[in-house]
Amino acid sequence: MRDDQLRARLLAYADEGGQPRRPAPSPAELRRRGYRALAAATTAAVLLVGLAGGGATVLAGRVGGHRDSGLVGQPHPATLPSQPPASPTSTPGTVAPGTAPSSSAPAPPGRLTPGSAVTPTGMGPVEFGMTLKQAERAGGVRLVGLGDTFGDCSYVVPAGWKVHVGELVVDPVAFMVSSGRIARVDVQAGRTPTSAGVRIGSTEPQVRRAYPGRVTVGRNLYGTRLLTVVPADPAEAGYRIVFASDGQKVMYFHAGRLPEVNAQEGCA
Amino acid sequence: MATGDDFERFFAATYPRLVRQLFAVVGDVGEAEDVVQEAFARAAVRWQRICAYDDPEAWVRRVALNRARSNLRRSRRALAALVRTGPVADVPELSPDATAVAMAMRRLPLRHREVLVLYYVVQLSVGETARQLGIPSGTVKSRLARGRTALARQLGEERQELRHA
Repeated sequence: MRDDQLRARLLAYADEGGQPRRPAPSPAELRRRGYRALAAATTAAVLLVGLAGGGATVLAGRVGGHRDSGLVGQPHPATLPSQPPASPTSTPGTVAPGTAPSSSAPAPPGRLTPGSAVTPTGMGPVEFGMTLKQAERAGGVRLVGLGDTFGDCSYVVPAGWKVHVGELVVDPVAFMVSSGRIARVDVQAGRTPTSAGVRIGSTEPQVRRAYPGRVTVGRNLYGTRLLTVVPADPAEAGYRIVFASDGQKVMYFHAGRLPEVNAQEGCA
Repeated sequence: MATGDDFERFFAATYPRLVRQLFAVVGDVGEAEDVVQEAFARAAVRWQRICAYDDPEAWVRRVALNRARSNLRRSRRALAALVRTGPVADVPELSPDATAVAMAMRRLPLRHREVLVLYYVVQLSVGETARQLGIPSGTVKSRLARGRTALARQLGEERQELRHA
């Protein structure tokens, strides 16, 4: 059978059999399903990636706080995707009294805070390869699931870390757990730095100066510009830091071990 | 700037096409609708980020394919018989030619079906197919060659059977 004949038969088959049979859900319904998946087993955590909010500050305490507390304390999900992304120069929100430390505050030694530095092999006292319990013990924080599980991959966030980005309440940092071990950290808002001082809102030249000769530039499958840092230390050859850029500034970044650090869809 | 309207437009423009593509992979239109809707639900809550991609449809397609693969793994035993020989689970009345293709596709491993559909139905190049699946181009070529040969052989046999009948 010729190639064009095979193509024609497969196309005809897909056209004939692949017509949706149920009414398509509304976009609002899809958003509800998406948020249900995120909130299914967790607090009011919303993983809104890409909301690069350099001016965001940590919100007091926990929002929600119980596994079944749904989306308490957040804007209505249906309104969220229509919110504009926060500019890195947006006005910081207010810090409520008795809050977690500011994300830009220096991290106390031995404790994981939003100010802990991200390195190729971990964040502050949390190292990639630790089990969830080891990470909680090392960081002195409770890590709660986002309910966004896919096979043996899921995300956890430090309980009580929230930032305001515009009207949104966002988890600034999320850890990917793969096969029971911390495999990567995603920094998606706030002022968390790398050990070289790069953070959301840093410029591409700043990234290059921070990691001289170790930055390779590429694009992910979906066209986003990625600046990947290959560690200088041969002992860290199996790790990377990846900065996503809008062409000028860092929008978000993640670090972790290979291959998880290159998973473009996270756990999805 | 991402807006809810953008997502609605994106969904309306791509949903039917993605269901059609996933149907060709999984052979079950109900399952295709499920995995595509699940992928869109995930895209909806990440839209601020995904809309910045040059090709957000590829993200949804990849997540839907991941879901289809995961579903197959989860129910491998139950599906095994269906995949090889069983009746179509949720396929509308098909023409004899489309039925023959459905039967032939169902006999192929999922990894071959994915490559065949991305190459012939979605009409991606070998390189694009490799990037979409996160596998080397050489693997795409070998799966394409094996899938193409097996499909052509099975469709040839179907034709012979029809002729004899």
